[in-house]
Amino acid sequence: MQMTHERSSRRRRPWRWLFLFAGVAWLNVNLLPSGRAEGNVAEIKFTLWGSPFEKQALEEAVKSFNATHPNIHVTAQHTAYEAYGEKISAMLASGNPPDIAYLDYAQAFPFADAGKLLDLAPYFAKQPADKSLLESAYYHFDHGKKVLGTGLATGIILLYYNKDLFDKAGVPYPPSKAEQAWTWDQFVQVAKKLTKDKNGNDATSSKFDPDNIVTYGLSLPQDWWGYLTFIYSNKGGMVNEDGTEPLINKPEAVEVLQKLRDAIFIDHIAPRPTQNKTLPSADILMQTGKIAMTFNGMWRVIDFSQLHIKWGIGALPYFKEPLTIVLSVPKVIFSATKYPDQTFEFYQYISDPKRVALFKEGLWAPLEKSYFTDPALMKEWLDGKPGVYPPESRDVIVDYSLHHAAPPPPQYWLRNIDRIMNEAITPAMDQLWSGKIDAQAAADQAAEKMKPLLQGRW
Amino acid sequence: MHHTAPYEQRLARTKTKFLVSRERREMIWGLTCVAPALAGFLFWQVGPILGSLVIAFTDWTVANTPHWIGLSNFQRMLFADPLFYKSLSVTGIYAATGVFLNLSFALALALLLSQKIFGLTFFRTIFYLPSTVPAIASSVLWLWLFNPEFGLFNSILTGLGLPKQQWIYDENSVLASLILMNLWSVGPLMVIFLAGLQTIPKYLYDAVAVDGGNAWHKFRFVTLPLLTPTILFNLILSIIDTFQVFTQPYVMTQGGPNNASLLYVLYLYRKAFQEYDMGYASALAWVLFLIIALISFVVLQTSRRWVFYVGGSE
Repeated sequence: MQMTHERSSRRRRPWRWLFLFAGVAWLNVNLLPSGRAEGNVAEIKFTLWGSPFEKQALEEAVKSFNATHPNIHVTAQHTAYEAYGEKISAMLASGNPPDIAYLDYAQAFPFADAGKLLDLAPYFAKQPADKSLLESAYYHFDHGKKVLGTGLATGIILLYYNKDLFDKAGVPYPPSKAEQAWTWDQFVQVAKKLTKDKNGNDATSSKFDPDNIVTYGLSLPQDWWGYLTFIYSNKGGMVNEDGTEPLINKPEAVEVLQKLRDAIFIDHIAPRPTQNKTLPSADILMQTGKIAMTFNGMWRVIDFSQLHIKWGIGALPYFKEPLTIVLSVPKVIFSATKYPDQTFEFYQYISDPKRVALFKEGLWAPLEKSYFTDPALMKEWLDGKPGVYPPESRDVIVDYSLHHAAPPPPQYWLRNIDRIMNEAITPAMDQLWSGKIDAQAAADQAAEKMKPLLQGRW
Repeated sequence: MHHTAPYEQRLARTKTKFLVSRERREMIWGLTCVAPALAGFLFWQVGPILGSLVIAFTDWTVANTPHWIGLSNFQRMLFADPLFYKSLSVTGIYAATGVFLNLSFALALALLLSQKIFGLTFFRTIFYLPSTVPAIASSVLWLWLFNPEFGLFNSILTGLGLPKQQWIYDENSVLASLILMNLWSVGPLMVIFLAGLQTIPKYLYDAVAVDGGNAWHKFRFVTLPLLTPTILFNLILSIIDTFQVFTQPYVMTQGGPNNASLLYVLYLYRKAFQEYDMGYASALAWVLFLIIALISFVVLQTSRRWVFYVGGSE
């Protein structure tokens, strides 16, 4: 009895100590960081998503920034894209937003509208003239009066192709200069020669078997930029500039949609884009010889450069005018930050090709105009790491970004864009890609569903 | 008798006292042990649930200051949102067909796997195994199987000389494909059925045999009635599960093509985390809760008529 009693009381005591210890530890964890922030060091929180590679490159940039800026301390928090929106929402709702962040445009505009984001226009106005950015860099709001941020980089859409498949089919490579770009119809003819069935016949042959295609000439992206780029090239659009009237069912847009649909069901040069998700990414498909060409973002140069195939980039085919779309994720500063100036300093730091390796690695193209005009800077970016950018980059990436960029897509200015895409555009495009209805019917349906959702522009 | 009473009373008192203190001690320890789980439940589940009830009556979009807008979200849902009805009908079809097929399939498997055959545990494991695969992983796997160009299913169809199907890429077949895929993971239902089958006394089957009944009679008049409590349990479990399905459409179809697989929770997620319409999304969540509660209530009420409990009542 005595022993049991003794043992049980002895057993109870460590528990008490444990609780006390845990309590003290908890207090420490919660009180210490705020105590440290009282000093001269500006604590800045930076949230981002991105591949492990992107994460690593930015963490290195953060490290070197912290090492060279003793009065600023940046902490990077990486979250997978799928959970990122939820995380930022939770941070904002709990009154604890990051200082600087990647932010999806669907969130960025409502946040900016509610005054949660810092207007960066005055900050950019103070920058020296030789540091000026390409106009396509900015996310404007409040009808062009304010800037909620810039893109992470200048992301244009371009044509990637597998040189081996071109050589095998005896077809010349796609041109790289805008002046020599193929028209859509010329492009389709080339793609047909590259599309092979299991007997080795190409799509121009009368013996071609469209039910047993081994290599497709083209892979169409499912994303909106996959068709909007060409609608812009045909001088059409998705909505008018005020964001009040759909243009998607006007002849310019419908012509393009019909040609893209024909590429799948009549020319047989491309698989349906709806099934892209089931397939490996375009670079892998190209490596395995399943596709010869694809339209994709400049940010895929990094992936293609790591494949052991002969690949190249070319000018996009065009309808009325050779051009491309520029798009990139907004990078913003939250207005709740205690250190706007220091945060903006870091903001500029991670846009600087001299500081972040992602530019010469082929994920990002610079925002700063001088990199597109000054040969020395251009060389630093494009030749900084041999074997990444192919030689034709000076035409396809530089010249197109500078002279052939379309006006900003609706994602840069249209209100309610997410619902418009989810409820009007995507369901109609699903039906177009299924081959059940033609482009006019799909576009009319999209336009009809769009009308009640249009709320003008930001 | 007379003077032993105080002693007995004292004894009884001590006993009660002892019991009370012992019970109390156990109670305290019990509460201490469940406290973390209980606190977590209150803080992470009940709290947000009640919070979402409040949010459902506001126009909160995360960025703005929420305003009380009364029943507006519910009005919008009922009178101005065709996608609400679309997602409701998609979910209704998915749930009705899915529940029926899941239960039948799981029961059929359980019956087969309760036979005395060679390698029984092996087969039980095999059929349960898919349920241990995380939903995302199995979704990705099935994406490959469903691929119209290079997928296994279409290879089989081509091999049989049948036309290729578009599976999840066609409005008309996407829901059927998802239901088919769901049959792959009926493992837990099957295990519960197996447990239910074990409780059926063998002498009842012997009685049927003595009376000249065959296998069908055994199933119809012994197995099925005695299994009804298990069926009820699985039915409710299955209804709740299918109404809340999310991962598969999220990973595989995003609700497409043309919203043909816009299941309710996916629509809710889209409202909450793509469009950040938290007020409306919370309203959607509560409506779903009411629907599931109502269906479960109806099922439980009618169960009195068809569920048979050994020993008369529950």
